[in-house]
Amino acid sequence: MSLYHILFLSFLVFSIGLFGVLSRRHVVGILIGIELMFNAANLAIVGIAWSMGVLTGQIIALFGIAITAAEVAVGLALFLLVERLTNTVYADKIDTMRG
Amino acid sequence: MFATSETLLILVILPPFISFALNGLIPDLRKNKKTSSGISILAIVISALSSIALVVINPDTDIVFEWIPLTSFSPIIFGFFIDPIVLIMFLIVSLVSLAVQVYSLDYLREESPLSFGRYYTFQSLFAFSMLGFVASLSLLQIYIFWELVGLCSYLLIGFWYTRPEASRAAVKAFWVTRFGDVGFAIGMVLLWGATGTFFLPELFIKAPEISNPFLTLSLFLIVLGAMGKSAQFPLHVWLPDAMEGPTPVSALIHAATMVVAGIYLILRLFPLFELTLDPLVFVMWIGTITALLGACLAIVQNDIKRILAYSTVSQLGYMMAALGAGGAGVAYFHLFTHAFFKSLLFLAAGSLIHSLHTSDIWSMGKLAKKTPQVTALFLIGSLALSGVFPFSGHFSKDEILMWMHVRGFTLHFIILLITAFITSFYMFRAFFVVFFGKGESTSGQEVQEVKTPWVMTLPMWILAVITIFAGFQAGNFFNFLGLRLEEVHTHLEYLPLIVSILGIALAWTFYQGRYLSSKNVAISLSPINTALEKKFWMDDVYLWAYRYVLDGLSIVCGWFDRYLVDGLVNFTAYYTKRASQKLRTIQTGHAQDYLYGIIIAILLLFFLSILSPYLSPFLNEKENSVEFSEQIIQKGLQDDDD
Repeated sequence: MSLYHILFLSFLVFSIGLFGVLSRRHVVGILIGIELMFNAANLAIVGIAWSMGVLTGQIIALFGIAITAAEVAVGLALFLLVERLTNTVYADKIDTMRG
Repeated sequence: MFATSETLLILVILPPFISFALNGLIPDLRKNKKTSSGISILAIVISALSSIALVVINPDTDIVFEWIPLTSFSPIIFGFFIDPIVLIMFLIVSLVSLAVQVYSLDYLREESPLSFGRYYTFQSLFAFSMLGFVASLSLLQIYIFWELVGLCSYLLIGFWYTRPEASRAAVKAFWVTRFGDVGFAIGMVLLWGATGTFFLPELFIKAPEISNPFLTLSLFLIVLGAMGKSAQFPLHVWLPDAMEGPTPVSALIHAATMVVAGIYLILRLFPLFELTLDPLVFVMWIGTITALLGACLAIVQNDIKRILAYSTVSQLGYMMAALGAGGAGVAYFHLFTHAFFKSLLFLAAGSLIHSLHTSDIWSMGKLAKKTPQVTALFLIGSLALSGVFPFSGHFSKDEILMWMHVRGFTLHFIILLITAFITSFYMFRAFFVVFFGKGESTSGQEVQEVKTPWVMTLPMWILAVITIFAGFQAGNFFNFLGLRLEEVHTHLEYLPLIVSILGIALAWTFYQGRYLSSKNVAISLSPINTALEKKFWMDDVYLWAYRYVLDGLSIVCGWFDRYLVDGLVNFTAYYTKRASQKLRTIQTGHAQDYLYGIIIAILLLFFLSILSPYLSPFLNEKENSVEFSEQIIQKGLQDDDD
């Protein structure tokens, strides 16, 4: 197992997450996509740190996971409010930013 | 003594301005008849007293400061100065202004307080501008005050602006004088371009160095300005129409002061005119033609103010002719006497118009018994204008005619002599018809009472006294100017007087004795009569030029502006709008669509950054960025080593 394998896995996970963000209609699906992208980034950081033989990557990843947890809480709260205001949780039904 | 005369100079020019500022800026003062007129008259009294004091002291002083400092040219000077010529003009302007402002107290009695206050505000502004004009030391400053008096003339002609004739006459006066002023402005700038200075004393020193055709051209252009302001042929058409303003205004601005600004300008610049003779010959011809033309047109007028207006045109022609013949002194003396007797005539006519509410001479008549006072005043003015001894007009007109005769301008002398004959004829035609006529056109209505309160008669009597005695002061006048009065004794010495009396006699034959019928003469000379009544079609020519030449040009310019200039702007705006309407459809409001855009852009940048090493030969960058940054790093390392 080399750094390239890890980075390839990270790239795959990031792409799947991005695809999820762009294509899911349900806001929770979008949030899961964002989580996947976050974890891909963490994976890449940990992998690179591991290949260099230092612990900094792991520390950054731990911080990242903590921040992600907080962000998920904020995201879910936002979606609750959006649901309350627009009576929908589907992203393609929400077009209040329309110019 | 020096300080005193400077103070007096300030006291002449500044009070009317302060009065204008007070009345103009504080509505409470302007809306009250007593305060507005009181402030204005107080200011002009101070000016008049200071002018008289200055004439007595006769100092040589100036107040000068740098207005616009320039590096490559002389600085532009702003300042006032006094010499005998300025002092006499101070005297004329402040005294006639005072007389007119007092007279107006009654003349404009029926006006509302607001327009009454407006009148006195403008009067103060006019007095300030005219006094500032005559004392100006630099050509640029002369031009500023020149325009200011023009503005006051416009405002006061259109004083009754609700009457369409009045506002049209105001605009006409402004346009015609403006036409001349453009010439003045160009001539002034040409002189500045040649000498680099507006300052008159410096200009006179440097002027001989200017090449002759150039100087002649600029002086011709300045003469154009003088012709516009002083109502000389062919720019005289505005002055008769300017009579739509209140009569005191006509007396002050369009008889005594503003219209002589052109004469005064040429007089001031006489050292320049002496260097090249062509403009002066031109001025002499224009003056002579104007004198004759104005007098001829005055014969057929039925409006008393228009008769006086044309006589002003004619007398201004005399002054111009004298100036052109080199007689600056005699022209100035005529200007001096004319200012007083002409404003007297206007004020006397005004008191009739004020009471009778008409200015048609045929509607008046039999006024001699009703108002002997005005009759006497008008007679004094008429005799002075006709040049009958011992009134002031006799002396000054004699001086001009004799000057022409002695200098050998025989043709001009004869024309001006004929003009003198016509002058006394039309003046006494008006006099006999107004004061002794039968009042033919009144349609049975008895001529009303003529009311002449002392506010009106006192200024007139003062002017009348000056008119009677000013002529005998000719010697003192010329001494004051530092000139010598030429005692001419030729066999033609009494000719002007004889001619004047003949004119009066002819008028008497026609209109008083009725030995000849003016109607029969008019019919037998019908082509001339028609030409005179149509004012030689001058107005029609201007109207034609206005309608077809100016309007045609305006239509072309308007088309260019509307369709080409505006079209370009509208074309751009239209297609911008169309493009925006297309573009806004990509703004769907869905967050995910925006994300697509962001990701596509990031991917593009990413690919560009990957491809840039391969693209750089095509991008034509002279500096390879990598090499450049390496150079900087190396330089920094070297600095560290040091």
